Amino acid sequence: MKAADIALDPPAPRAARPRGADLARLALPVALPVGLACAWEAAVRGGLAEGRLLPPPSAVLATLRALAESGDLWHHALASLTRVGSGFALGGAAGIVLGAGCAALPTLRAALDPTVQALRAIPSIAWVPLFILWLGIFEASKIALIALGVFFPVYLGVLGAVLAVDRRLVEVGRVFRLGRFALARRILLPAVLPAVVLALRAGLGLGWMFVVAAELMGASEGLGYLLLDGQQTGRAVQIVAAIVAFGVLGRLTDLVLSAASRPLLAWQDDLARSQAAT
Amino acid sequence: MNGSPPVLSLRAVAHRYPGSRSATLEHIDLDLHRGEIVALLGASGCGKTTLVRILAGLDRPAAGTILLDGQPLSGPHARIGIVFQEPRLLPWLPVAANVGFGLAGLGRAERDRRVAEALARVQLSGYGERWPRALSGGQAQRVALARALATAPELILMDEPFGALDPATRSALQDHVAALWSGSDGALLLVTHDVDEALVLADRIVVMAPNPGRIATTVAVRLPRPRRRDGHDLRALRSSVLDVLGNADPRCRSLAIG
Repeated sequence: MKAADIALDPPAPRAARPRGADLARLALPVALPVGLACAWEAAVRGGLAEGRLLPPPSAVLATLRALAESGDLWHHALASLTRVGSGFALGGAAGIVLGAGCAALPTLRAALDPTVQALRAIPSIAWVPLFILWLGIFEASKIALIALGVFFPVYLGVLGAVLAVDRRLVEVGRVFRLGRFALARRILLPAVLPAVVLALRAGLGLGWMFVVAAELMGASEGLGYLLLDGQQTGRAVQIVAAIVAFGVLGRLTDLVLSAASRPLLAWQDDLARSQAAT
Repeated sequence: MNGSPPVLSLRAVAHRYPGSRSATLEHIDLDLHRGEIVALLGASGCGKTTLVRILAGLDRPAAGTILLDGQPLSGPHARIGIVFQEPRLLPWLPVAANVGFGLAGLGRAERDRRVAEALARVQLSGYGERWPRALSGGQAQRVALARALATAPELILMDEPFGALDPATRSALQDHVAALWSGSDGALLLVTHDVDEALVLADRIVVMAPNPGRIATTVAVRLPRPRRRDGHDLRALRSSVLDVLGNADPRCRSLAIG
């Protein structure tokens, strides 16, 4: 098209630009990973790289399909998911209860918080040998490790969120003569919810981190077992397939958590919303 | 002032913050009658806000008695409403739920009726579904007023409710409050540091002085309503109130001249 044609063209319809902008917004986040994967695939197929230590995407997909068809993928994914779910439920619940309790009761906070902060300084994985001595090498020690990893961010997030509730909104509750329970339900809970959801998502992320650690230290099932098995048999493609499965599962569970909380947080007036609106 | 017993009666009310050398409030005597608008006028730091917080039940007096309809007042009371300096709307509730926040004990239909009525009184009918973040400053403060009105209190406290608004919105809201209270039998206690706001709205101006916070004098405003801000009578009264304010607090003298 010549420059003169462009100048003479009628202005594009209004819908055209947003549609293009929508496309760019969808394409932009995936451009980098898809681009790198295609480049690696081309490099291996063109003979520029061998691809044994870092298999090309097609080989990873083929491995994933084979694992899915044999049922192994679902079996191992379910094992890891169950561990993360149990540990997340235990650690998240403990973090919420103790975090809220310490925020509400200054005496409990004075008694408990310094100890929790001190324990937090210990890398959670350091507990593994003790957990194995106490709880055995099977599920209990793995779930305990995951629960511990989830507990700290949730505890800290909930404690901080309750302590940061705007005193002026609490006074609104007092003026309307809310009792302790009603104040907690109608003012404190909605006020801390965004921060609690964030803390739970951080906890879930750590839960996935610690399930890998737990399964690498010895497991007969789980995606971490696929990692270890791939290493011991020299199959990099199985390791990458397990890594991809971890990534997909971690992202999916995070999406489920944030989608479940979204209706409760529709009121928020924050930067993310204002960026989404433009 | 009039024959009926006062809605609210304060006798020798005092307040002192823990660890503070001087009292925030000392020997406050004050009566409020039905349908009356009383302005508490004074410079910052003379205890106006503390007095309102005591009446709202948020702070406790160190001494003295407070009677609401002859009954001793202790803690927040259902028949006293408050509009704070800021709207203090709960951001997670739509406007209608904010207005109905104090009506949780009522049935759904009655609550909806009262909310609609309160929103109509502040001229925000049709705003019930909005989120607080979608309101302007003036609208948010009107929603806060509707929230206080919804429980049909006998006494409404307002703590510099228009202080953060632009001048045009402020005077519009002052006129609106004046119109709402004409013919109403609720009492309004309005804290302000704005002499004109006190003159436009109040039946009585209670001038407070600081260190310790006390009532310096009371000025009756016997001007017909609606009042014009630039009216001759109001201007004459303004200079005498500024004189009183200057005598009550030497710091205000320069303000009075300016």
